[in-house]
Amino acid sequence: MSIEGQSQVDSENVVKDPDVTSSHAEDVDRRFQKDTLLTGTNAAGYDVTELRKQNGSTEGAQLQLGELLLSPPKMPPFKEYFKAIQKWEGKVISLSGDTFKVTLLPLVGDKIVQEAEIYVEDVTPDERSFIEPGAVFYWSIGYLERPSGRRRESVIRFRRLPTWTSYEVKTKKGRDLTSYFDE
Amino acid sequence: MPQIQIQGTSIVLIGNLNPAIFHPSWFAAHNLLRAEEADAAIINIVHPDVASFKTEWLEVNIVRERFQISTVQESYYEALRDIAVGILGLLSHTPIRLMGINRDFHFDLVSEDLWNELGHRLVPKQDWTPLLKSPGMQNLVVQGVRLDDLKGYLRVTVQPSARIKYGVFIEVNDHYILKTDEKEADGADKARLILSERWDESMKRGFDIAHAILKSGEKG
Repeated sequence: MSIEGQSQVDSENVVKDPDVTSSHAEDVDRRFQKDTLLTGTNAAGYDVTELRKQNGSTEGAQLQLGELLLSPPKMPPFKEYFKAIQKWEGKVISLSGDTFKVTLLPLVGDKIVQEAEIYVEDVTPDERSFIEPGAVFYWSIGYLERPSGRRRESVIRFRRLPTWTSYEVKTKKGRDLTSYFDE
Repeated sequence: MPQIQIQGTSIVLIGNLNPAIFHPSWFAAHNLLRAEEADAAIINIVHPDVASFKTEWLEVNIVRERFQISTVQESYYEALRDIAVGILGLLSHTPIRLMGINRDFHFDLVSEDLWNELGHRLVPKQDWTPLLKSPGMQNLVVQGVRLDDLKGYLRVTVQPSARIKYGVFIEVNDHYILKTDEKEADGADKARLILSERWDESMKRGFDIAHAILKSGEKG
């Protein structure tokens, strides 16, 4: 492999495909060729020969609004990365005082359901109202890699989904995924 | 064994969108983000043609025909999925034609020899050495048909990592075609169902493909 000496201009040889749902640089580049209004997460503005050097990042955007070509301020790149050792999907069984009982289904590895008891205090204050029987949450234990060093972390986050309306439940109940594609 | 140093996940929707509504406060009002998260968001721009902001774990970039949310925090992958599911539920009549569930990884191959070995294995150089001096793989894209019952494809990109010396970047684009005809409805519903029912499968597939590529490099 090689990453040095990029000096060519790719624009003449870029496939003009607006239908790409990938997020990496090449695809942002393609959209720049065709559209009048564009943004993306892996673009390097004017300097298309730098695109490859930004792979996997989620930064950068360039916009063309009519005749104006704008480069909005770059958002600071993420400098902290959470590496999970284990992740579970949990469901609340009951709440009693300072703790709540849950079932935990590992999202990685063997799918063996376990029961556990978690302190309410471990949940962010504004999510404590979510703690009720049946509520779903995600619990990750791992390392937060930061410029200042690695830190062990535990993250609990409750599922946030807008509720389906009764109309939706009535009309969509029973339709499985494959039925959409048989139409 | 190569180690994952950085990884991320993104969800991309292609359709007809109204970027102006995608302000962090809209996410909070619909219970998609915590109020504190929305308040602390760094807003790049929210405009009728584009919305772009970032929270501690989430990055949002939306233009009229493209919606993208991403995270590099592994603990929030499911939360990312839930945000997309929530938005698709709220905007269920939005025409959505295509969806990508993407995983990307930066692996550290530790040594230059292993790094070159993987590049040579994926793109053998014997046909290139007569043509170029010191040919090196810059960007490899391979696409295959889906193995499930849905329309779309799998596309894998491998590049030298821009973040890690002697690292490799691998992205797996799990691409779904939701509508082939403009008259078809339910693109948003299809996307929501796929995210709800096939997410774990897609995540695992991306992980397995990325690791299989690296293992192929280890055999040499």
